[in-house]
Amino acid sequence: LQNESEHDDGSLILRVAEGDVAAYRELVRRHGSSLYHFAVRLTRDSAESEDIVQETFLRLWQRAKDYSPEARVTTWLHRITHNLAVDRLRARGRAEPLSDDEEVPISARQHADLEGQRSREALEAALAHLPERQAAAIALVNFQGLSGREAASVLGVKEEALESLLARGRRTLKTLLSKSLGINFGETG
Amino acid sequence: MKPQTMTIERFNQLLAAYGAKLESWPEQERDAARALVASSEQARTLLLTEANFDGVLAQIELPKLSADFERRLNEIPLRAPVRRWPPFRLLWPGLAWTAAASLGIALGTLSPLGDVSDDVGVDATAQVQTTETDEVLALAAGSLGDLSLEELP
Repeated sequence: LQNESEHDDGSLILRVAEGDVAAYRELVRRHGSSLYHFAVRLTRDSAESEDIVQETFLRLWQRAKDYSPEARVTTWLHRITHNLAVDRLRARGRAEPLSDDEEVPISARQHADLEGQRSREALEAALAHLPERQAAAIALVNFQGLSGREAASVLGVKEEALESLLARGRRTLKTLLSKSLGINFGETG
Repeated sequence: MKPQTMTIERFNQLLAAYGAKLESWPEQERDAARALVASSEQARTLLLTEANFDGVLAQIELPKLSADFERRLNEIPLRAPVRRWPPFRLLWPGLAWTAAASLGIALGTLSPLGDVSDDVGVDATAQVQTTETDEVLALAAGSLGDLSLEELP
């Protein structure tokens, strides 16, 4: 093929199913960074995230024929990454993230973590304190560019439930960032 | 068709979940949200306030993959070759030949005609062999009949 980037993800994955290495590498180029970023958001561990992304692409290579065109390729890949990350979190004993209904208490230590950090660092620290499902919802919609419907499909929830996860996650982030950055982000929802 | 309208409460709920980028909102509610923003000062104020928070979130950067990690990802097909079946249409000629050959063998093995012909063959051979033996013995006997016993060694 002259130029892989001219092909959409759907046609590339069909070619991967027939063993086309060039098509596979184009999908790595397009989605590798994004999936790695998503895995880091969930696990907060770069080495583990690399393992998860490798496993995701191994599955893409070996099981491309299982892809159903009802979902976008990026949604399918994010779902695989999410499931692998959740499995690892459970195996690691981080299985019980904070309940989605639980407000994140801001301990003195966390406050100290956030103290002195500005903007992006403060945001990274605040994101790390979110319950896993809220962090995943925010990552999918705000950082990965998935629509609400696609993000709900990745997490296996209805769109209404996703809306709730997003709203609670953003509210928690605002609380944490207001304290660390001294900015009032207002109240919505 | 009458365009959908949106209450300020619903607007606020969606804003709290999806942020100030209306393109991220559920598709079926975007037009009503835009109409509300156009007509409501309160909606515009809420949108601007939420946009400040979106600005903070936007500072998150996608990490670049290290060259080594990207190489490992690209090498997966070499390290994990997959035996793939050719497309089904390419299998048809082979399948047709295999099926025809199998059918022929099965018919040849199981058909009672095969047994009969085998039996006939054996009997016929046996009969031919018997006849030939008799003739040889008869010829031999005839030859011997011309000789006296004394001439025998």
